[in-house]
Amino acid sequence: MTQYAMVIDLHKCVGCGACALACKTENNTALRRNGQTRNWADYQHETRGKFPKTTYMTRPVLCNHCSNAPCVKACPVTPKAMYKTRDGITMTNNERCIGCRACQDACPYSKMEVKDGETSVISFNEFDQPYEPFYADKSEAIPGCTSSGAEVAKKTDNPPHRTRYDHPDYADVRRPGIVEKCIFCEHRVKKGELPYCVVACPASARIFGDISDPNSEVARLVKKHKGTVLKPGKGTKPNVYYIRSYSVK
Amino acid sequence: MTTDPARRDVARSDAYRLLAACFCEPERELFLAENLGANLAALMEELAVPAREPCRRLAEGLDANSQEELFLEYTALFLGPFGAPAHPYGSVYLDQARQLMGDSTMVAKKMYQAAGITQEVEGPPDHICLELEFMSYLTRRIAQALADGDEAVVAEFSRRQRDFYTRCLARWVTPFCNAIRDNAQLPFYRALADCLGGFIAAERRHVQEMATTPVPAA
Amino acid sequence: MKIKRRDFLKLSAAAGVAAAAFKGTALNALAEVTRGTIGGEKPGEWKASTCQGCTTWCPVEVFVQDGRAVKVRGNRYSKQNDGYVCPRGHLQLQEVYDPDRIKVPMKRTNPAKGRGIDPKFVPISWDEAFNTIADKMMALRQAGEPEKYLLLRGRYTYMRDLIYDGVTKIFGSPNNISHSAICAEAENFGAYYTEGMWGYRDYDISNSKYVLVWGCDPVSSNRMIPATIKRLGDVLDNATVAVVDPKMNNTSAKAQEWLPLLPGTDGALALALAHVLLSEGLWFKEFVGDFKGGKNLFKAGATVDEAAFEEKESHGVVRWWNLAVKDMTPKKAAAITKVPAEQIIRVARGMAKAAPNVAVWLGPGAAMQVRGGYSAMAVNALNGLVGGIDNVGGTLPSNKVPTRKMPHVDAYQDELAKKHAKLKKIDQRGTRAIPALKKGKSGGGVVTNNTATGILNADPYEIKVAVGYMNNFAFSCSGAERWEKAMARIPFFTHITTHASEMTQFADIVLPGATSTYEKLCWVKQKQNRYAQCTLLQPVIEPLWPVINDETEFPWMLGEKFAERGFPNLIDFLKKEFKDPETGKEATNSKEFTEYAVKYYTQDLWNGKKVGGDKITGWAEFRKRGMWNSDPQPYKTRWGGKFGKDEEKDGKKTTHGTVSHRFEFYSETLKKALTGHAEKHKTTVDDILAACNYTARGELAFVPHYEPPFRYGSEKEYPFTFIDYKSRLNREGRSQNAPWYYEFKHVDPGDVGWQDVLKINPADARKLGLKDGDKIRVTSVAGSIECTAHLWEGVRPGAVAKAFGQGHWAYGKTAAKDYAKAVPRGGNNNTLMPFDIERLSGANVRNGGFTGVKIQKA
Repeated sequence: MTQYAMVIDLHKCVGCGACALACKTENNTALRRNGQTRNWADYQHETRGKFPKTTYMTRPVLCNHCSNAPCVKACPVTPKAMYKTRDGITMTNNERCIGCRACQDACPYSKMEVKDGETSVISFNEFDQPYEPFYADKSEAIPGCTSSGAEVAKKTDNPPHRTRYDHPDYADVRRPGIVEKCIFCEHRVKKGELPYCVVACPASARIFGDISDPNSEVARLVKKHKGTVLKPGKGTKPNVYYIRSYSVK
Repeated sequence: MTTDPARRDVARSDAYRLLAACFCEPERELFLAENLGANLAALMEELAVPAREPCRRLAEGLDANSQEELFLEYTALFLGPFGAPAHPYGSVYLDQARQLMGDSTMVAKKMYQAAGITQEVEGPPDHICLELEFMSYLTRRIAQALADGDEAVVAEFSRRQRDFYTRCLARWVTPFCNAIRDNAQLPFYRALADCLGGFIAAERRHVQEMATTPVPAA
Repeated sequence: MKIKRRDFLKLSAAAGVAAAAFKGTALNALAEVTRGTIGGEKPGEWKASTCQGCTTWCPVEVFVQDGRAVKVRGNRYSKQNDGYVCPRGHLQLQEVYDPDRIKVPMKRTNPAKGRGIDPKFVPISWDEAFNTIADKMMALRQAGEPEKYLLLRGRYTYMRDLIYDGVTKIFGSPNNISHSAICAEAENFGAYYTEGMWGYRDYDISNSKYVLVWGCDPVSSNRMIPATIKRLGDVLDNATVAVVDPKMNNTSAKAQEWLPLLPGTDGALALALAHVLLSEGLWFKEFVGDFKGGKNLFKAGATVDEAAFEEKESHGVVRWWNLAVKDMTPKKAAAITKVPAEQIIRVARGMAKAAPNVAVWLGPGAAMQVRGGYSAMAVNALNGLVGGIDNVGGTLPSNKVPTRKMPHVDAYQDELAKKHAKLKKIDQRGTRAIPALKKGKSGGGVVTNNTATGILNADPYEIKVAVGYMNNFAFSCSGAERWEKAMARIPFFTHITTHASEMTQFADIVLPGATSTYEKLCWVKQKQNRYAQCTLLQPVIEPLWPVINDETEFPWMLGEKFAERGFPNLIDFLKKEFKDPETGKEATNSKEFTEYAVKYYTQDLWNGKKVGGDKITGWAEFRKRGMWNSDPQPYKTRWGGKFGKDEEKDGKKTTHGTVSHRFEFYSETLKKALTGHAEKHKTTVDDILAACNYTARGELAFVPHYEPPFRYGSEKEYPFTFIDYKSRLNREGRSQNAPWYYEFKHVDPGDVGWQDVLKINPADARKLGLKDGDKIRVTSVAGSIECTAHLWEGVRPGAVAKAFGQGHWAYGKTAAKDYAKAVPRGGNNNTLMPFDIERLSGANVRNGGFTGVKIQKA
């Protein structure tokens, strides 16, 4: 049975930020507010040692699409709003989601509220708030001379660079009062494309495929480099693997 | 008796499915053409369920009676114009009010939904055919996951199967079988009640064992 | 209940447990929930353009849905970026759709000018705007002083010729001032006075066995970002990467070696590496040559007889050794640079082992220093010692991009213009203390930052009318506040800009400009990975309001207004010299003109002429592809005495490249340039060097050597040495109004999202009683800013580092903390860094530890 997985080659990754930004342009995720990052892809950084023997690394993070997903288990809705597709994607259904945030609470890779420097793979869109207030703001820096968020959105869309796509479970811009997270770009994958962060990575550090197929590149890389996952002790069985090390020192 | 778990579960799934077929409107020609009796007997044998005798009677009964006779008996037992003597719905046996569409019906419905299953026919979801078919489906998913080595799915569906068995099916099959035995005239249906009763009783061990086999917590 | 399908009665395949046996369903009255149809991406089109977020100038494609730009990727035909962009490519979507963009021409109604003074801008018509500008400019001509018009150019495309040269020269002013010296002219100085090339080098890192990155972070900035990001992983597998940078950067974090030298000691480190290469006999003999007797006579401290050595492709290695290298042992350099001697030796030996497949990647950090000219030369000299110049895996010049040159303007210049366009320039280039020796010529290059000096002192004369485009010198030049004063001095300033930047606050007329990737038709050229490219910027979307292409439409519209005022020369030039090369038609409006002009410049790439590289069959195909790739750059093109060549024209001998025609360790080329400059001012080279704040005297002036770093502020009063560098999210100066910039600021090592942090070594912070996240005030002799302290081991004790970018007090509601009240968000590094220039090249100073700072809790 298909199990989609992603391998992130830290040796190739330069921590540049392209994947997370590309994700924001593909999935039209809103800006951070109220402790919710809405970054379906994000980064964790680590500096160790004392100068000059300092080491530094960046680790791209995203939903781990766990085989044993606590978010799915926690979802109280019937049928579940957070569920596993037959291809092993941890899917979130916008229509069924009631915004209880039990998934966010249950996910060991998420925070109900992030502080500086923290990441959360599940974010929550507050009730009764436009998805992106930045482009609903009517104020003008120079009245009558410069534009406003609302005016730009009126002439374009919200967000103005909104990438339009159709998917039965999730919208290209999600409504208020629900959670959202990486869905492995299923709207692309099912059309024979790769997730957008994968095609956008200038280092080709992200590899996507069916890990249940031992001949797939993801399976071979995980085997060859003894891929690791985040928080293995939690028993979540993540399907995002990290191989090699960020630094050669 | 088979020892390969996946193969065993394929047989279990088939058994559930054939029993579900038996509780549908009888189609004598089709049942005979598909060797229903013999196949059921073979499955029970493979699963070491002591049902050789009822299966033989079931096959003989199918041979002996006409399509019309079988249909009349089916109607009388399960559809009865003045209240069926052997109601095929779980809630009649489980709910206080002995009525259709009770709380227990909703339990079954939710369990179908949670497993990603919808009902394609009209009527309450706790019909014996649907419940047996659902068990067949769950068992088949387990067999498939075992073959794929997908422990997470094995664990998940084993849990679903145990829950459904204990909270729904197994709770009302015995009184249901008794009701058939009390009211059936034809050997086919009397034998079917014995087959079902014996199989469901034998299943208890399987569903309990599978769901408690240590696999990573779901 | 009915049986609906016969399958329901069948046993599962007797074959048993093979996974395939389970496929397909055998359900009757139940069914698996089927999910709705996945529609996928809505229709759209990938349209070719160019990203100008940095000087890589990536050919890109923009995905356009319903007329909106929604995604960006590298151009699929590009041999430079292989279809990828760095984060800047994605970030720019928030730039084109920025809520704070100027949507209408506006004029100032408050004559008072200064930071925090509201210009009281009001909207006006395009016609009024151009009438006002034309009146002000024509008044200068009528007064016989057209030189008092100043064009301040910022980031450009190669259509710059029209506004930069065309308008300025035909109008009659010498003052077309570019931003180039803010960028990295001192780096070009290092290359020119060693290998004879005034230009940025290309790096063949795919074939390198050793890459020594010096004073830059090529996966984050410099000129081949996506190409380097793509290759670095493999380079780390196949080669050794060593990084010289006083603070941890992205490349050094991944590399085998990090050499965190004391800021400004680059020259000493480079010489020490040369010392190891020479004294241990490890130089690349095929390039440099060898001792005639075969025995290595380079011994620490010992002078060597020049006659004993026979050079091949280079010139003056022994004289260099004698003058500057022989005493710079690794031990001595270690004391100066704080890089351990063992590491210096290890790196030098590693380079030698990999020679000649070695690239020494010279970045601005080694050059843009008060005394950076010679450190740039020293670093580039290493490329010669290891033979990596023009070699496999080394550094390369660029292939030619066969575009046309601007037609001559002479015929359109009247007498006034001819005379006044030759007057002295406002940036004071070529004066005694500002040699600006671009390509060997005294006053040959721009001295951008010194333009403020000229304006402030009205020296050589007053500037009365200025036009600026795609620039923001009041923020982007060190000593930024000087520019505020200078801009306030200009009586009439027009700014063509997308945003109301700091410089805009001093404008009298503001014209809404087109964004570079989305709304302009222009072209640029660049090179990477041995391929040169010509790439188009194209209007892939309709602008939300009327905006103009600064470089083409401004000249056209101004030309029309000049003609109305009896001066048709400019519009005649634009109409007659830029006819459609296919039909011969003259343009009738600014948009037609823009297209004809781009066609004129690029025609040989698509008109069937045999120029090599990609075969493109016509203008339509060129626009669709958006770019042209050259053939790969061959190796060793300048070996065999071709690092310079002499030309004689009309009895006048000129040299292109090095005077000796070889790679120069002893720079005859610099000797000639400096001597020429000294003679022009009737003085000595030593006097010039003293005036330029260099310590070298005599022959040392002609070789790469070590100059002690110059520092503003005593160590006692300003105990920390400030390190400035560029954020990898800086789209030059144009991304700080984009919220995503702040959201992902932490991709700069040691930085924190939504903060402007000064990185301090934890040991220093302890002494100051500072905690992570404390608000601090940082002060230099030049100015003072507020920002946040971040404790980080990526910077040495005694030094502090901060990324350039934040600290805007204008530009927009996101960039500034309070736009209306001119309150900055974070602090501008250019407030701390005093005004200064590397005088030999004219470059802005921002590196080399020249700024001492003190830190207090705010």
